[in-house]
Amino acid sequence: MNKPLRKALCWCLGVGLCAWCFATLADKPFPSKEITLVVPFGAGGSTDIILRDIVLVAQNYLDTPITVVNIAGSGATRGSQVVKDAEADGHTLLGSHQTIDLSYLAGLAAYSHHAFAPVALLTQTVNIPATYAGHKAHLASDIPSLVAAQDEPLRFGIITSSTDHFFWLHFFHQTGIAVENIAFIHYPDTSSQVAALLAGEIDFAMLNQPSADALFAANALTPLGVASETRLAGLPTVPTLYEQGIDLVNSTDRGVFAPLGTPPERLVTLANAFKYALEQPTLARTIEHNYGTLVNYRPLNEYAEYLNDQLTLLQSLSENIAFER
Amino acid sequence: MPINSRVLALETLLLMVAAALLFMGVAGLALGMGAQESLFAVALVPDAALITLLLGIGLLAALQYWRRLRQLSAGVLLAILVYSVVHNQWAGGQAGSWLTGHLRITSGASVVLMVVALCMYMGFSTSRRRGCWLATGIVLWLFTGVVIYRLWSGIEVENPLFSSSPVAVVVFAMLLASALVTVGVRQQSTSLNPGRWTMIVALTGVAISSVVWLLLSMQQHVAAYQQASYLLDNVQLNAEQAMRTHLNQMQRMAERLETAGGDVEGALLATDSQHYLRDMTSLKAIALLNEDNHIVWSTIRTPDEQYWLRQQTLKQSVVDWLGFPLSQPRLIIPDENQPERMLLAAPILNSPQTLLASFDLASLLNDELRMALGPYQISVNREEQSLFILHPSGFNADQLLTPEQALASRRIGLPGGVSLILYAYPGAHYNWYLMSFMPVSVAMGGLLLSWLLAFCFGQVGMGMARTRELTAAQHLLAESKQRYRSLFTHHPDAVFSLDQEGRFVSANERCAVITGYSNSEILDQHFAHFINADDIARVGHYFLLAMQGQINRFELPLIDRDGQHHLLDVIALPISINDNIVGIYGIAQDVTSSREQQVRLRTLERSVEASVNGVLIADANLADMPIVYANKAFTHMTGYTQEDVIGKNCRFLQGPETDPAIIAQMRQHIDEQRDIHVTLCNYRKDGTPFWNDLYISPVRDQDGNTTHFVGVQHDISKHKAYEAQLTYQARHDALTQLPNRALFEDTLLARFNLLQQGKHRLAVLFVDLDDFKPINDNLGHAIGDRVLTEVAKRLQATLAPSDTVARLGGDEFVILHADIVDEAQVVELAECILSVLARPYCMEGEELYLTASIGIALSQQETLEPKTLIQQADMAMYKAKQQGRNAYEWFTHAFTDTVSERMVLRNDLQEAIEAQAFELYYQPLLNRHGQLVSVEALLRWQHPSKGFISPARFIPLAETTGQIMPISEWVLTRACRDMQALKKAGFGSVRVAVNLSPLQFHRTNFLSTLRQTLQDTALSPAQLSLELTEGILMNNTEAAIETLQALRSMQVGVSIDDFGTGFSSLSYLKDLPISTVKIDRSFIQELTHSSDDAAIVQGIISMAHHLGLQVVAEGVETEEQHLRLMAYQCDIFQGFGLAKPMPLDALKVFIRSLASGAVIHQEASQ
Repeated sequence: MNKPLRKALCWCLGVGLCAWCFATLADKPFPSKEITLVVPFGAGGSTDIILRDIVLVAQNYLDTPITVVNIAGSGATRGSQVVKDAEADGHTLLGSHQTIDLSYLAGLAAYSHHAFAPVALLTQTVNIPATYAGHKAHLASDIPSLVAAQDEPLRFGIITSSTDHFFWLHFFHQTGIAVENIAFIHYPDTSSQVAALLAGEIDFAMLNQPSADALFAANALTPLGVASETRLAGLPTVPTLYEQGIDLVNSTDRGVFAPLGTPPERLVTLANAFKYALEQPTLARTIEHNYGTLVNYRPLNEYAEYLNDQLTLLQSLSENIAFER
Repeated sequence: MPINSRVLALETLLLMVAAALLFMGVAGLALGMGAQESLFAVALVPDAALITLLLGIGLLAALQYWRRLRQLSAGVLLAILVYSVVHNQWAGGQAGSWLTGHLRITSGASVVLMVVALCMYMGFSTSRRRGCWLATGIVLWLFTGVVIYRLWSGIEVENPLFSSSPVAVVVFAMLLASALVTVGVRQQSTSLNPGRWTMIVALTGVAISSVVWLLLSMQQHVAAYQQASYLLDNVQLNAEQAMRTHLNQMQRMAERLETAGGDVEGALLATDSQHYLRDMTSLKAIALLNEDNHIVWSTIRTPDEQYWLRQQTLKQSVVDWLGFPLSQPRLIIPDENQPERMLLAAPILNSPQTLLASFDLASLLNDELRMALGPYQISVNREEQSLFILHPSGFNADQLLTPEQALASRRIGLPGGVSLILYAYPGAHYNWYLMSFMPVSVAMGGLLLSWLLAFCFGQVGMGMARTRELTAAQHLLAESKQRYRSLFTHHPDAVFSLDQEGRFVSANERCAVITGYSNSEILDQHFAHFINADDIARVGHYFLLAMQGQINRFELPLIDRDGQHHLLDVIALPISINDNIVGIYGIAQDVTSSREQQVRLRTLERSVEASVNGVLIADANLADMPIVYANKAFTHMTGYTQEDVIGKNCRFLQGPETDPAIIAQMRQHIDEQRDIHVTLCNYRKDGTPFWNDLYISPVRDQDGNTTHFVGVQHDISKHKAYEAQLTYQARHDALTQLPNRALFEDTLLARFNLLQQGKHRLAVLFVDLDDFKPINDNLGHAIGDRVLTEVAKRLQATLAPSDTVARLGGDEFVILHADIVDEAQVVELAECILSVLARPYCMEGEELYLTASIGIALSQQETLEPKTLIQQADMAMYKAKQQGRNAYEWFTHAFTDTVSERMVLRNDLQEAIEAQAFELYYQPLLNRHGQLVSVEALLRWQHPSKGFISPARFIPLAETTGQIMPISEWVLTRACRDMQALKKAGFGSVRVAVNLSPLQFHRTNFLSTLRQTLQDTALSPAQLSLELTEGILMNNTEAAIETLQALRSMQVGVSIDDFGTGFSSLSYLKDLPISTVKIDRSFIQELTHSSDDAAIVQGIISMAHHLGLQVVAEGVETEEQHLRLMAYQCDIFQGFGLAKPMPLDALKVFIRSLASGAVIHQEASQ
C-alpha cells in the first residue's frame, strides 16, 4: 500500500470516528442525570463541609442535583477507588485533596492524581495544629519541649497517610522532634480527632477552621498556630507557625476530579459549574471567613499542572520526613 | 583427590558439615547479639553459636590433622561447657550469658556437647576412637529424633529443652551427628582433599543454603509480623465500623428526638432504648440530659449502671465535655479506673438536651469484632490495661502476654474519639515452630542438593582425571609403541622375533645386513635355515629355554649369504603376553670385529700388564688427575699396591730429592698436553729412592681432546749406578783407583785457578818406577799390577789430604802438591816418596825392590797452562832417569827441547791410536821365479802436521810406553781383513807376514786374541805368518817354544826376522817350530861389498836349508844383490829392488801385473 493511500485512509477513519463521537454525544446532553460527588472522608470533616457548601451552588449552574456521598477509610482510598472505577461520563466525581498523592506516596494506593481527570482546584484550607483546652501547650512552638519533658509519649491524632499525617511529620522534621518519642493515634477522620481532643484522648490534632472553628471560638479547643504565611482572618490572634519560628506552611488544597477519560467538554462544563459557584459572593465569603479557607480556582489543565508541581514537592518532602504508612 | 566415590561422598559431606557449622556459628554470633524471640529465632543463642563455631573449627582441624588447633578448640569448648553447667546450676537457669547477657545453653545440651568435645580432643587416629565418634554421632541422631518429635507434637513449645531455637538445634545436632558418624565410619587417614571444584561447589552450596535458610526464616518472620499488622488493620477497621454503627444508632435516636421536638414518648425513645438494650449487650444505659445535665429520662440495664451514670454526669470534666459545641456524637471514658466504661454523647440539634449512653467498650468490641484470627490473638488495651483478648473460639486466651511479646501493635482512634492500643500476639493454640521447618527443609534440601552437586562435580573431576590419566596412558602407550618401534627399527643390532615354532615374525633391517638375505626372505623362515648345521641343536636348546621364560645369551657363528663369517652375540628373551609366552625376541650383535678388537685390546692390555716398565694411566678430565690404572711392574717397582695408588695423583712418588725443575717441566708439558720424557728421582713405598725414566704421553679421543695421560716408567737406578761407575772409571784408574789423567788435569786446573788468587805455588811430581817393565815381563802382569797397587797406596799414604796423586798409565804416577810456600817442602816430599817407594815389596813370599825417578815442575808466575806442568815434570823425570834413577830432578828450561819432542810424539801417537790414523803398506815377497810368495805388512803413520813418520822412530817409543799393544792388535786385524778383502776381490789367498812385538808375543792372552782375530776376520790361518825377532825367543824360551808350537798347530806360519843380528844360540833353531828365517838387511846391503857378509849369508842359507827352513832375503835393493842371492840358493826375495811397500790398492795392481806375466803362486810353500 502506498503512502498517500494509507494517509488518506487514516484521515477518513479519523474523520469517521469524530463524526461518530459527536453524533453519539450530541444525542446525550450533559448532565443527563444526578451527579454524585464522593467525599472519601467522614461526614463533618472539613472537606465534607466545604464541598457540600460549594456543590449546593454548583448544582444550580448545572441544573442537576449533586449528591455528596462520604466513603471514608483506608487513607481516603476507598472513595477514590470508587470514582476511579466509575464510568467516565462526568456523573461521578471525587472531591478530595493532596491525600490522593499522599496515599500513593505512602504506598496505600497504586495510583496518584494521574489516574483522574482534574476538573478544578477549588479551595485552599489552612491547617491549624490544635489541642484541647487546658493543655500545657499554648503554642505550636511549645510542643518540642513538651515532647522532651513528658515521660509518656504525647499523642498525635492522624488519619493514616493523609494530610495531617504528612503535616505532623513535616512539623516534627522542622522542629527536630523524633517520631519515636511521640505516639500517633490513627483515626478514621478529622471529626473523630476533634471528638478525641475534646475527650482528652489525644493531645494534638491538625485541624482547620471548617472543622473546629466553633470549638476554637468556644475555647473548647486551642489553636496553637496557623500554617500559613499570614494570620487568618478568622483567627487573628493565633500566630502563624512562621511567627513561632517554625518554617512550615501547610494547606489542604481541595478540588474535584473526574474519572480519567471523561469527555473534555463535560469537564469544561463541570469546571464552569464550580467556577460559577465560587464566584458567588456569599459562598466565597462563607468559605473564607467561616472556614478559614481561601478560594483558589484553577480549572482543568491548570489544576493538572498545579497537581504535578505539588506531587514533585511532596515527593521530595516525603523522602526527607520518611513519610510512610 | 580421592578416586573412590564413597570416600569422595564422605569427604564432601564432612567438608559441608564443617562449613555449615562454621557458618551457623558466625551467623549465630552476628545475629544472636540482637535480642530475638526464641519462637522466631533462626539462629542459636550467642553461647551456642560460639560453641558451634568452635565445633566447626575443631572438626575442620581434626579432618585436616591440625592437631594443636583441634585440641585447642576442644579444650576451649570443654571449658565453656563446664562453665555453663556450673553457672546454670549456680544461677538456677540459663539467663544472663557472660558473653551477651542473653540466654545460655542448657545444662543437658552442655553435657551432650561435652561428649562431643571429648571425642574431638581424642581425635580419631585409632579404630576405638573412631568408634567413640560413631557412637556419639548415633546418640546425637537419636537425640535429634527426640527433639523433632517434641517439636512436632508441640511438647517443645510448652517445655523447651533449649535456649536456642529448637529448629536451629535440630539442624545443628543433625549436622554434627552426621559428621561424627561419617568420621566414625571413614577409614581414610588423610586430610580432606575432595578436589578444588568439589570444594568450591560444596562451600558455595553451604553458603547459599545457609543464606536461603536465613532469608526464608526472616521472610517468614517478617510475614508473620506483617500478617499481624494486617490483622490489626482489620481489627481497627472493624472496631471503627462497630463504633461508627453505635454512634450512628445513637445519633439517629437523637435525631428522632430532635424531630419529636424533645418529646421522649413521641420519639419512642423508651421502646427503642429497650430494643437497643436487647440487641446491644454492650449498651448499659441510655439517658436524656437536660441543659443542666440532669437526667430527665433514662433506660438502664442494671441499677448500678444508673448510679455510675449519675456519678459521671456530676464530674466537671464530663460536664465540660458535654458542654462543648459539637454537633457530632462523641465519646469519652470518664472513669480511669474503669477504662472499659464509655460515655457516648449525641447532641440533639435545636435542643439543649443531650442524649447520653454508656457502653461497655470491651463488650462492644468483643461482640462486634468477630473475625478469623488465624494463629494470632489480639489484645485490646486501654493504655497498659488489657480490656479483653480476641482469640479463636475453643482455645484459651493466653493471659500472660506482655507488650514486648507482641508481633505488632497499633494505637487506634475510634470514631467518637476513643483511643485504644491493639497488640497482636502469636496464638498459643498454634505450633509456631513448625513454621520454621519450611526454611530449614529448604535449606536442608539445598544442602543435600549442594552435596549431590559437589559430589557430582567431584565425580566429574574424578572422571576427568581418569580420562586424563587414560589419555595420558594412551599417549604413553602410543609413544611407548613408537619408542619400541624406533628401538626395533633403528637398533644397530639385529632385532627379530620368532613365533612359537621358531619362525621369524619380524626382523629389522640389520638382520638383512648381517645375513645377506632380504627381510621378505627372512620372515616366515625357521631360524635353522640361517645357521650352521652344527649349531642347530644348541640354538634350538636356547630357543626352548627362552620359550620356558628364561633369558639366554650365547654366541653364534654365522655364515652369511656371501660366505662371510660372522660371530653373533645373541640374546634370546621370551615374549610374554598375559603370562603366556608366545615367542621370543632375539637381539643379535655382530661382534666379529669387536671380538677381534677385544682380543687385540686384551693382548695390548696383557702387554701393558706384563711390561717390565711401570705403566700408569691417569684421568685427565677429573680433578687432580687421579690414577685409574697401574700395572704390576709399577707395583713391583714402587712397592705400592694398586689399591694404594688408584684414585691418587702421581705426586706421591715424589720426594725431597726430586728435582723441582723437572716437576715444573712435567707440569708444563701436561698442561700443554704434550709428550715429555724426563728422568727424575722417585720414591718407593718404603721410602727408598729410585731413578725413574719417565715417558708421559697424552691419550686423545676421536675429537682430539685429551682424556688420559699414560706414564711409562723405567727404573734406571742400575743404569744410573753404572753411569756413575763409568764416570768414576772414566776419571780413575781401574787398577789403583787413583784419579786418571783427566781427573788430575781437572784438579790441577782447579787448584791452579785458586792459586792465581793467592801467594802459594803448586808442584807437579812425575813419578816413574825404574825398571818396572821387567817385573811385568818376568813375573807377569798380575804381580806387576799388585806392585802398582802397592805403589799407589804408598803414594797416597805419603801425601797430605790436599795433595792429589794420579796414575797416568803403566808405571807413571803424577802428584799434585799444593800450597807450597817453600821449594824445600817439595824436596822433602820427593825424598820421602823415593824412600817410601824404595822399601821392599813382598809379593808371593818374595821381596821385590823398586826405585822411582821423580820429575818436579813448580808453578811459576809465567805458567799459563797448568797442563804444561805435567809435561815439565815428565821431562824432569826423564832427566832424572838419565841421571841414574832413584832420584828426583827439577825441571829446567834447558832440557825442554828433546824431552818435549818425545813427549809430543807420544801424545800424538796416542791420538793416532785412538783415531786409527795408521795405514798398512804391503811389500811383496817374490820367489826365485819372481812369483809372489807373500806380502809383509808394514805400518805407516801419516802425521797430520808432520807428515810421514818412520816406524823406526815411533815403534821404539811405542814399545817403551806400551802403546805398541794397541798398534800391534790393529795391524794384525787390519792385515787379516785386507787379505780377506783381496780374496773376496778375486786375488786369491795372499799370505801376509805381520811383525810381532815382544810385548805382544808374551801376553798371556796372545793366542786367544789371535784366534779371535782370525775368527772375526774369517781369514785362513795358513794365510798368516808371524815374524819374530830373535830377542823375543831368547827371553823365556820354553814358553816361547810352547807358543810357537801352538801357532803351528793353528797352521800359522812363523819366521825369524832380522836373523843373524841377535846373539842367540843356533842350537835353538833346531828346536823352534819355525818355517822361515829372514836374513837381516844389514848382511844383504853389504853382500856385494863384503866377503864376510857374503859368507855369513851363504852360511845362513846353507844352515837353514839343512834345517828345512826357507830363507828370505830382505832389503834386496839391487839386481846384483838379487843375482848373488839367487846364486846362493836363497828362496825368497824382498826389497825395494823388487817391489816397494805399497797400499792395498797398489798391491792389487801389482798382483794383476804379476798375473799378466806370471802365475801367482797360490800356495805358499811350507
